[in-house]
Amino acid sequence: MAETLIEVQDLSKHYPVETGLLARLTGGQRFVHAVDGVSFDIERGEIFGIAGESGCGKTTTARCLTRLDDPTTGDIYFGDDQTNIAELEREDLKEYRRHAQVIFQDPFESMNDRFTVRKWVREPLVIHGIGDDDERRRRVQDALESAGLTPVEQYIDRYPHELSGGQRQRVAIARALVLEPSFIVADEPTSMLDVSVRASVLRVLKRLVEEEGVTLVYISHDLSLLRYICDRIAIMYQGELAEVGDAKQVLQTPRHPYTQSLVSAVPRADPREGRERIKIPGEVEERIGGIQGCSFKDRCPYRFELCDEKPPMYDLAAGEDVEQDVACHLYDERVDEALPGEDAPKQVS
Amino acid sequence: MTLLEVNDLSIQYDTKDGPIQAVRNVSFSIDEDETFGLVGESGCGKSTIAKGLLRILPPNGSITTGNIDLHLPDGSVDLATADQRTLQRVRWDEVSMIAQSAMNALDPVYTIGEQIVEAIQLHRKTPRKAARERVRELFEMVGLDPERIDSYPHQLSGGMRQRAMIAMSLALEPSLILADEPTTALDVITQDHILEEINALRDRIDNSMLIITHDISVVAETCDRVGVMYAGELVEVGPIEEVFVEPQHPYTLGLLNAFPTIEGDERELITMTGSPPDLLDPPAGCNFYDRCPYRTEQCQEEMPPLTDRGDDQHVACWVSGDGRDIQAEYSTIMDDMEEELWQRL
Repeated sequence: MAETLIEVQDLSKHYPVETGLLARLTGGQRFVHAVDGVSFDIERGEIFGIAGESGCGKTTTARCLTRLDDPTTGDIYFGDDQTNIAELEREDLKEYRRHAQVIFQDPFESMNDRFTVRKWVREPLVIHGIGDDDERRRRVQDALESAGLTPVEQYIDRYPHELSGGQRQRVAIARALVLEPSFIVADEPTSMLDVSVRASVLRVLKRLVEEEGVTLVYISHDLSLLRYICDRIAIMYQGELAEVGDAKQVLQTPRHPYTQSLVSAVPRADPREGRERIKIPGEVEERIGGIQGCSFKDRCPYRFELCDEKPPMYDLAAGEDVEQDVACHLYDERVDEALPGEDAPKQVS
Repeated sequence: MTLLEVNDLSIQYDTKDGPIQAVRNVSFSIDEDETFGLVGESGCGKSTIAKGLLRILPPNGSITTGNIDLHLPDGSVDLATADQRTLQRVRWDEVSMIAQSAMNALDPVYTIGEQIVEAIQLHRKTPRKAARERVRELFEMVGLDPERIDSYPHQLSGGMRQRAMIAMSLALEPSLILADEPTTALDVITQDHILEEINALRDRIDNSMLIITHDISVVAETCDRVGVMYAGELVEVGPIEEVFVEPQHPYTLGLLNAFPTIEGDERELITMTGSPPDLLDPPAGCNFYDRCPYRTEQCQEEMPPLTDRGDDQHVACWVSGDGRDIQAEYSTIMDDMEEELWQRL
């Protein structure tokens, strides 16, 4: 049984729509529920994927995990001593950030133009006051090597404009690694890169997990890519979790009606393969305030009475090795009575 | 019947460091009622070709060689040399465009209906009422609620804006529609709706399309034939069933193996190390030489021409041209740990 590194419990993040004084005074302020009551575990030494369409809350979840954003409610327990990340302040928060690092999407914006690679990668050590000059030199060298920027001498004195997109993204990885974190969140780290170099960044990340025991959260809208890199995956919809489990299992036999339509919408590269679309009407809309019942019910082809209640997570693989949890009432044991003659969505293909 | 014939097209951009050869000696053709895809990575010249076809290159860009012949019922026009009056007649009327970002292509201060009505009235003597009626028809055709005619661009979702762009591109029943990354900015499900729309239109309307994208799967699902571009050159052209199933150019093969799939057997992803050549000073031999694990001495010295390999597949490669089976050799290359040009994930 794998060990849990992070336990997220009932995490929510609400952003105010009107920030003006009047709205605050009259109490008429409304909130966008970017993340709404999300719970999941991340195991030590795994690659955990968070997927979904834009606005589903995947980036906000990641920002809460690294405390770039403060959760509105909920708890995030980290590590052996079960520190609650959601409540950390000042010095404790700074200490946490040594262990938890973020890699952003855009390698062209995340690097200071006037810093050389050496200075940029060393900076976190300076900020955290770690090591003397020798120690820092060694750490920068190691980080660049781990990020696949070898021979190091060839890259260390370069400026950002002298690097390609793939190289910049690996510099960003090196900067994250220099603090020797145990936990890294990568938010769409390859979406700006060309296909032919994308795999190099993926390889570096995968090696970190396999060889250094780092735990990685990988956020992406690209399901094909997540299938390759992740051990476990969470599918988000409208700020809530639709489905969580073993990545291959969830993407090969999705059970939530939303996951099913999402997977069926991915275009196939082999012209010999056809695919059947599982179509759902409408589009994702920004939600202000919470939603009563299932957040997918208005677009769901299987909607029935139970959907007006918030669905719990149903464990579909109870007692089996392959994990798959689904937030959908179709998997309620009463569902046969509730839906006479209607087959469960696993029949749909 | 051939609708568009691009022959020996070269386009360069003048920069302070000298001219960049963005497109070099590219030839391809698009038949009537055919959908043709141009695929390649950033900087390969695919968008420059689109801009060249419409003659909307930036001021420092110019067509240096070649023809772009558009064969119309009332005669042919060479878009590479046509004067502004001819171009104005041809644009929208015969060649229209679906841009990548509908938000940028649409004017935010006019309703979408107004913008399409204006496009129609500029080219056809149509009373306003009839033009509006036409817009409603077009909306219906692309799956957009006709009641949306008086909406402003910001009032529509990304998918709806892209549908409005498609409606606009169809307004004057052009012979050719250029689509530059038509679904890149969209989410998976919305992208799928638009791809479906494009395919449905292909069946209903007999115009040709040129789809420009970096996404192999978008081409595989919408196009009849494809051209693969690398560093300003066309390296492989043919029907998608040939090019994507039996690739004959190492770059095409590499690209297909760098791309993860949602289903099927898990195969390893590869990285092509290195980067495309400097187009300020293109190499004398094959453009792909530095990154090619199949390379020979000849590849370094001579540029391979695009040659016919049968079944309408054309490839610019000395190695596969010599009869070597690059796909059969692929696993040997991947097993050979000495070879670091292509690395697996």
